[in-house]
Amino acid sequence: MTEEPIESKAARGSQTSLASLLVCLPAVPIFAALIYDLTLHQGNLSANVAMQMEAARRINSGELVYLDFWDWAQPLVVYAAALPLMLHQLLESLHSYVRLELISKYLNMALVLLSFALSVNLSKKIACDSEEEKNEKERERDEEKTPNLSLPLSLPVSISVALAVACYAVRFQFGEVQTQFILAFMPYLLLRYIRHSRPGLKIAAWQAYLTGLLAGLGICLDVTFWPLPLLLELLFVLYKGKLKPPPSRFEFAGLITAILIAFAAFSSLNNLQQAAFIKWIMPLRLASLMVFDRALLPLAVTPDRRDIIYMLCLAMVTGAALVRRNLLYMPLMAAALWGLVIYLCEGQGLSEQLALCTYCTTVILVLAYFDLAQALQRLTARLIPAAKAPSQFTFIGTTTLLTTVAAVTFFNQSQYAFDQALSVRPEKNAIRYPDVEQTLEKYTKWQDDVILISYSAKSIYPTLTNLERHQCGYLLSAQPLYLLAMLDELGWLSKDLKDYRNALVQKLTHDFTCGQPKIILVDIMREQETLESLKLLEVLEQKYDRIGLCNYYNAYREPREHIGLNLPLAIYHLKTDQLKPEQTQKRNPQ
Amino acid sequence: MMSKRYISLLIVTCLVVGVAFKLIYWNMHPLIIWADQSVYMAMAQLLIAGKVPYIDFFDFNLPLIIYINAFPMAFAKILAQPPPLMLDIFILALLACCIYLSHLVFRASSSRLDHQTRLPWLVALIVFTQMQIADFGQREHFFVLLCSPYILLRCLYPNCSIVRCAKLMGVLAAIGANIKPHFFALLLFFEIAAAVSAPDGLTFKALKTRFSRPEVKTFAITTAVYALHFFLYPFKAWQIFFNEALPIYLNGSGWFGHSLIASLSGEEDHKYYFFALVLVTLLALPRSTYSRLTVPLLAFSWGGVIVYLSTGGTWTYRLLPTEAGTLFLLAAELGLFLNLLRRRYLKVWPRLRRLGLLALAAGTAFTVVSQFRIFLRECAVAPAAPIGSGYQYSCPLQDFSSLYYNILDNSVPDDAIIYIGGGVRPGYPAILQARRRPGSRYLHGMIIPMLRQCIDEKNDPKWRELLHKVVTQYGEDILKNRPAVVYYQDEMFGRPEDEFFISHYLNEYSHVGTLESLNCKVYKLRSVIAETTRPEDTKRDIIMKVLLQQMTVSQACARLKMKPVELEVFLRNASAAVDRSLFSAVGGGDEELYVRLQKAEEEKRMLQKTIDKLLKEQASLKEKLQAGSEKIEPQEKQEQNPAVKTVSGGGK
Repeated sequence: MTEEPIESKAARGSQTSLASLLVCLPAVPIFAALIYDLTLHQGNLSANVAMQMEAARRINSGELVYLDFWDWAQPLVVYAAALPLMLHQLLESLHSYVRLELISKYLNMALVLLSFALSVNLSKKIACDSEEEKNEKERERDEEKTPNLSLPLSLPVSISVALAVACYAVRFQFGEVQTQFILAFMPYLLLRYIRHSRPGLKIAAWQAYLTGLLAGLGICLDVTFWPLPLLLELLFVLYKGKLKPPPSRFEFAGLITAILIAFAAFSSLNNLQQAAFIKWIMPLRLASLMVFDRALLPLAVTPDRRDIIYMLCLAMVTGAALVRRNLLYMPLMAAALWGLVIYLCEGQGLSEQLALCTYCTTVILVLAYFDLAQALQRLTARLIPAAKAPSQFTFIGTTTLLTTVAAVTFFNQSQYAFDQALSVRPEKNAIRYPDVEQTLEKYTKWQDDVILISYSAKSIYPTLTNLERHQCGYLLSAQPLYLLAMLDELGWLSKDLKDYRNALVQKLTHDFTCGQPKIILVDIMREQETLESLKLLEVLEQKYDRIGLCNYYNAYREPREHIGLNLPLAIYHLKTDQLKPEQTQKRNPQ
Repeated sequence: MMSKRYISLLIVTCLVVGVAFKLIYWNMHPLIIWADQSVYMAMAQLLIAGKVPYIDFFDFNLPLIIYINAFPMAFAKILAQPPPLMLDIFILALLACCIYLSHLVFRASSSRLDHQTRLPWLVALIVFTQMQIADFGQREHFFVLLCSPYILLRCLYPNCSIVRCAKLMGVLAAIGANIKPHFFALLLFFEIAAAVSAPDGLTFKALKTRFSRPEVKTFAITTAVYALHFFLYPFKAWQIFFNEALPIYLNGSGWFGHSLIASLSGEEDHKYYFFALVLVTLLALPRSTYSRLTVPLLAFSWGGVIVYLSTGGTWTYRLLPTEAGTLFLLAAELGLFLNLLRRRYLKVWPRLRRLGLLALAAGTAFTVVSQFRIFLRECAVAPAAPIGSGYQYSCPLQDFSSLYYNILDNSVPDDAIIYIGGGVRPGYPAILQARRRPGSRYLHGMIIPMLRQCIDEKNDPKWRELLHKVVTQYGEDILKNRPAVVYYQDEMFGRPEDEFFISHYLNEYSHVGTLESLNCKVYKLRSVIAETTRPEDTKRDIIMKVLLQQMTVSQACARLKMKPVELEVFLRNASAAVDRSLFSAVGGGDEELYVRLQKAEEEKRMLQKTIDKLLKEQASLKEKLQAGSEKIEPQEKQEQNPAVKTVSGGGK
């Protein structure tokens, strides 16, 4: 057997590199626009991301999660949220001052690029495999069209464009748990598709392991993601009609490593924290998926994402029609549907809870666009034999042009969203309460401790992060307060949750009596009533005077969403005789 | 060994029992009907009497649903039966017809897979209809029933070249699709999906063959005839529809809207519809290439979701197409499974099939028996009483609202009644159940809150003019028809229209009471007050008085000439009926609680506004006080400090 000449190997190598570059080229304008958009708008960190960073700051200062402050994120999420802070501190020590929020965005962008690179690489392998399946004649015909390239690039290009567009579709949920999950899970989804549909295709062990590890870390971010990998496997089993799984050692090794990492994160908590997590936090989290807040019934009290649901409906029909051509639609549709299920269970209507569905729906529709374009091209070739099929270069060039136009459109839409989100209906402005930010600037100083009690984390974060005030006290947001009240009404409070409620009351009593925060803002829609029913309002009013109202102005749309009636927050100011010398207010000169 | 004849007989028996057993239920509740269905029956009654839609009676919908309801209404008149019962029987007859037509489609198919899908499909059709209680007879229900044979035929068509009654299926589908414009759009979406996923591909020849079939032709002809028949309407009807009904609906329907998340998972059962759809879609995906039903039915189901969400409300009847699509998809998947079993276990297939049929028979029997026990239990809790509307039937007391009883107390059969409220109920079904006539062209008052929504949101005086016109028309109808009773929900028109309406049009009426639960004043025509006063000592009144502790048991026994033991039974049943009506009564007995809740929420909103205003005043007073004290403070400091001498010299 003669060895391939070195020149041929080198030529093939350069062809493969060129092919890789060309595959990614159409996605470049979209990613460039995304990075520019993220960098341009400072202070628009996603609410939950900002809340997790606040949690990380508090852990860094020695507090214990689940005990000293409430958070219902998984331990892995809590530790992952510390990464931006650690990097920020490292850069500060090197006299390089980068905003914490920017570091967070860039780290998430790194995840995007890692997910993208792994996915596109896998799709190129699918393309290679498809190419080898073609007979010699077809290969020759292709080479006439593209003498310098030996790979059919339509599939990897369509996947790269689909993933890039999907990233922009979830631009305002950047860093949220669902977004991180789908970015981590997408390469795995592709890998499982390859394993089941092309069992002969060899994937490098390190790549399979890394894919499994990334997916496993993604799955461990929240309980709602656990069933999805099992669901995918079930679907593939039903498709093939065989129970025997394909060989998948390395990605399962990666999954197991991720589970061990998550377990290690849990084990690093002390006994009390573990007990709090198991007895209080997880039951409350699971209960939140089973109840619906009837205050969210009226029109216009939650974000209206009908557009995504309509797209999902279209994606389901399109995907089902095209699944016989490309089995990849099946796991994508399953992931989109699972995203819908999570959205229904969360029951709040926030866009971040629809991120998984949005991402997968976008990928399906973009892939369908490419499939339909190819079908149209074949139809044209049949009807007009003289018409030549475009070369790969033409295809990539045209696609890049389209994605450039798309990138500009997405960027403009994003700017429009920022403008619209701050456009408040005139009748809301009529009462002219100050904004939450104005109130905090008026009554507090940089690095001051405050307490904001609101069910919707959106009215708290990233306002506090941007103003560099700190949420002291037990509640990072008032979700447990409200949930416990709702569960009590339904008669679903278990003994452990009743204990938790008692513990919560004690902690809030301490928060209201320690005199640490100068300002406490309480949402009057519901939180005030709940505090009153727990007899905490009178505790609060022992040391604090109610001095007015402020409002979290929003238009129920990204990037400033809200849920519930947009009633004001009551401002409670520490009584003058309770003020410590360092808390004496210095008026903000602005 | 079971012969084919016995197998067919068993299947037919199960299907007939499945369709017919609900007759027992409807016969036990001969007057039960829900708001929308009752109002269209009432409109059908007016149509039969020669009235013209939009001119003599107003509605937002196109008139086809009224034409459809005219059939059961006509039967009710001819046979002197309660219209709700006739509607129920009509729908069951329609169901039987659709089952037969679907059977014809399957019979014409040459595919084994289709033959295995037949029974699951027919059972799905029965289950879909028999599951409906509150939505039985809704427009969407009619749409699904009328279109189901057509949908089946269009999916299976390459295998069913010649189907008996295909033309009839096209006519029925056209009737169903034209009830509402978005039904038409949904069917079109379905057709596109069916064409794209057809095995003969998307070629010009295939499309031409597909759309030149007899059912498509009759569909098109029926639609054209329906469209053309509008030219028979007077121009005034067109004007009212396009200048009033349509703009008000398009601009004011947000009044009844809910948030997206409420539409998807807010009301109690909603999210389970979507969970079922998700599950069925996931099950369909792996084997979707094997069945011609999958992609078109997915289009029908998910298209139904688009239609549901685009209307903005959370009414369950709007989910009926999705519900039906889900059940049909399940039937298709079951058919695939049965076909797989048949191919894998060909030798034992006859035995398996017999077992399956016996299971079907046992399941049918079990369902019928358990449902019958539920029917009996419902009636035991709220015992039946004679209807009181002239029909020779009795009906469980919980099937009626408090308005119904009030109408009976204050009027006689065939009197005109007007209920001016923000929705269809409780005016309808109470007026229809009580066998009274509508006293106004506005059978329901949905137009009022929709107009008020338009006035609040749009900066156009035409909406206020339209509201005034509606008020005036209500008034004209009162003066012309002289209804025996006018029920007026408090501040329905808003000021100043309220005052105008009461002062101008209710001069001949006395305010005789208030229905607290409905926040509704009762105005009775003075001339009928004496005629309709009921004697106080009816059994019902006395039992109510005992429950309200206005009378003792012994006093009641003396009045009714009854033993205490006998009276206890009535008291216990009445008390249980009241308890049940506060929770999940079939006849909408929880409506009063709902209305009370709405009222409480409105009061809370008003109070909150007042609180905000007071807080604002408090804040401004505090600021003034603070500003005042800052002025005084420097002066005080200067006075205290002997070293400081003021220039002003005034001093205190």
